[in-house]
Amino acid sequence: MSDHNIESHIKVYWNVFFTLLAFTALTVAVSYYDFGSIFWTLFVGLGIASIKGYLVSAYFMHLNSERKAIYYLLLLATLCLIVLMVIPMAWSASASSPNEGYAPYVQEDDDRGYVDKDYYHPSDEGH
Amino acid sequence: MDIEIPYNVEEREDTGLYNAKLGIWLFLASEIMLFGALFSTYIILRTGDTTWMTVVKGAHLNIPLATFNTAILILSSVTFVMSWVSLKQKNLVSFTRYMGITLFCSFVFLFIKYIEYESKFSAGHYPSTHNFYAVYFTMTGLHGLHIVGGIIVNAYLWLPGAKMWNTDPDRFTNRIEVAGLYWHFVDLVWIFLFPSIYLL
Repeated sequence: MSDHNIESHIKVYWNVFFTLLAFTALTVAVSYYDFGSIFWTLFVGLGIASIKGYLVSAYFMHLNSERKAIYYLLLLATLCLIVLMVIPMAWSASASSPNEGYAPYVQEDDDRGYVDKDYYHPSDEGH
Repeated sequence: MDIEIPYNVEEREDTGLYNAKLGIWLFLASEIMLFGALFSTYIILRTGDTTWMTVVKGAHLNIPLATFNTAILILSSVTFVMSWVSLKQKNLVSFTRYMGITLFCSFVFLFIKYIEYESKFSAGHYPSTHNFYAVYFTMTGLHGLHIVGGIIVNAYLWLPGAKMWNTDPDRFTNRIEVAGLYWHFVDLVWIFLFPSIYLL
């Protein structure tokens, strides 16, 4: 990198830093706003996180000007990630009720201390 | 007899990468899947549990403290990249200063995590209390372990490891770049963890 090039890079790094701070404040601010639906709450919240993620990976990790081998590697990792995420979610969605197929583990205090409530166990079937 | 390892500093013709850079990206690819599996677990457990939001509200997560921690981690990322730039400018003093700030931020982050955990434990909230706490402690705990790992490597490069600057400055600069890629990834994970656990 030439001296001029380095100076311009430094400027970009600090600009990215302040932008990330601003987006962090925005994420917290919008979390108090009622969007009326869970879809829009998640869309906005994770959307802002994705923009922040892009800024970190593109500028701090230099992915905006990286070698092709890295892009192929990340593409493969992302594909594996999507498959790994879709399989359990599809399996979960195919369950007919929220408690079927996995066991939300809920405990509540009573006289004996902690008690397992709504704890699904295969041996419970038929009781 | 000294054996020269190829592509330690210079880039390989076909990939355009030096050894350590290819190595760290392969490692980060595996990390994407590790944290991805945990996010997948989180989504499934959360969507399947009708008591989830009640428990989250009762957890009294300290959002201002977590927001401050996010800012601290972002600051540590920019100071890390500045430490690498300092080496590109052949300025070891500036490198030492920026890396020192990065390490300081890392310890602040862990200290705030300790305060958070302590408040949860003193309120009787453990990973076994509810799936929310299991997810909370597993994900933030694994992320915290990554911070500890980063501190060990960065502290080595900051003090004893910096001797390499006198003998092989290009290789040392590459080491900082590679350690930086790991550190930015840890920052990246927190950027998604913070809204997912604390805000949404």
